[in-house]
Amino acid sequence: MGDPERLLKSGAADREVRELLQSMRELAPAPRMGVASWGAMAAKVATLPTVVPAPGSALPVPVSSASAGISHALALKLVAAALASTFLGAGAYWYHVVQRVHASAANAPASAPVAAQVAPAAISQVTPADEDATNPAPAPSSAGPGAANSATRGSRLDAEASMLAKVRSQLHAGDPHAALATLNQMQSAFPNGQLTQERDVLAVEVLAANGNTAAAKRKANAFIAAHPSSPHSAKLERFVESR
Amino acid sequence: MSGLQHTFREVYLTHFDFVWGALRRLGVREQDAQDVTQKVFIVVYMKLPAFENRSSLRTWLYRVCLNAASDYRRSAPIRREVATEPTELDSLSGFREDVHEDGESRRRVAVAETILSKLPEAQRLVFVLFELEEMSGTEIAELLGISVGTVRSRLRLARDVFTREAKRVSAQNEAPRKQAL
Repeated sequence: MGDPERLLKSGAADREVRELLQSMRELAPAPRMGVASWGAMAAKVATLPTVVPAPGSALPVPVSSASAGISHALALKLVAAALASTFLGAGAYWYHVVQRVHASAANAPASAPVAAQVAPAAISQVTPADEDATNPAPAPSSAGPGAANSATRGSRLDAEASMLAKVRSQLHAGDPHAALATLNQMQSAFPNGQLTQERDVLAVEVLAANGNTAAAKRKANAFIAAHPSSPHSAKLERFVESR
Repeated sequence: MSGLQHTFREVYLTHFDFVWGALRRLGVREQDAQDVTQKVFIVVYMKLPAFENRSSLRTWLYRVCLNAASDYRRSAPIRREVATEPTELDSLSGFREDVHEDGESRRRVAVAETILSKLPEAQRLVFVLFELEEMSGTEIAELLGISVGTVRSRLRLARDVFTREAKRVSAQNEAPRKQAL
């Protein structure tokens, strides 16, 4: 059975109903609002380094603003491909990091059992001692639950995005232990944030980089089961298959 | 500027109007629309590298809009000053023959928003997606994770309320005009 005829196009619908719907259909911003607001938007995202190149991987191919011949879809594919290579092609980098963390784990036994207890739906918590040891710098004020509660919605998203960027930076700088600590802070500060999927995907990377491959796979499988249609799931499936 | 930022700029400039309009139809007030649009694009920027063209870019953007609008409505009930009581709705129905066409359009938008705000959230979403965004029943079912049958039943209920309220407001418009004649 097909869809019913839309009220806007239905001769049977009342005139007043069609008029109201037509007015809603025609809602549009003031002319050139997008262009006028681009500067502010660019300044905002400039502080959010989403794609941080792992050693050996290239940045996405720049898409010139003059390259009108390149479709958006193609440009986006290039970005996606670059990220995929970052995620998958960085195996050697991960291996190096994992080996390094394995070595350090031998000297820090407290963190190993905690990491091993990672539940699929939760990021493992590190002990305060671990945090002090791996992340001596004081956490930003926006990182704590109290600060998060008092922040406005806009600044909450900014803070959440900043923490995600910090985790990525720490991970790609070869400090997976600090990345895990920041991830735990993020989990506490934004348990129902707007970037939870990105956080969970990143958690897989962080767990693997910390040498906890089993937990990483469990978390990846849990994510895939919960979000089968998410674009992240395809990457995670490749990750699980490669382990 | 990195490749990502170049791509993001194109996405932003090309789809700003679409996102703004979608948010408005999803219940974001005009004075908040630009702010929420910017929030949507921050999420888009963060998620852009994960976009793998499995769905159309617009469908993907719409999904982000849905989340942002839901968050907006859930977290700011006080900010919603759209009238919800019949008496408030009635105050929007004062039709004047001499109003400018743009003013009339704005009045219609206000009336439509008021009626939409009376619908349960689930019905409102289906109604907006079908009647205003012109998505198919199957697309809506996939987007919202519900069955096509549920889409149709919610649509039917929402249509009943919308039509009934539109007629009521229209009838109240007609009364003063007839008196004036």
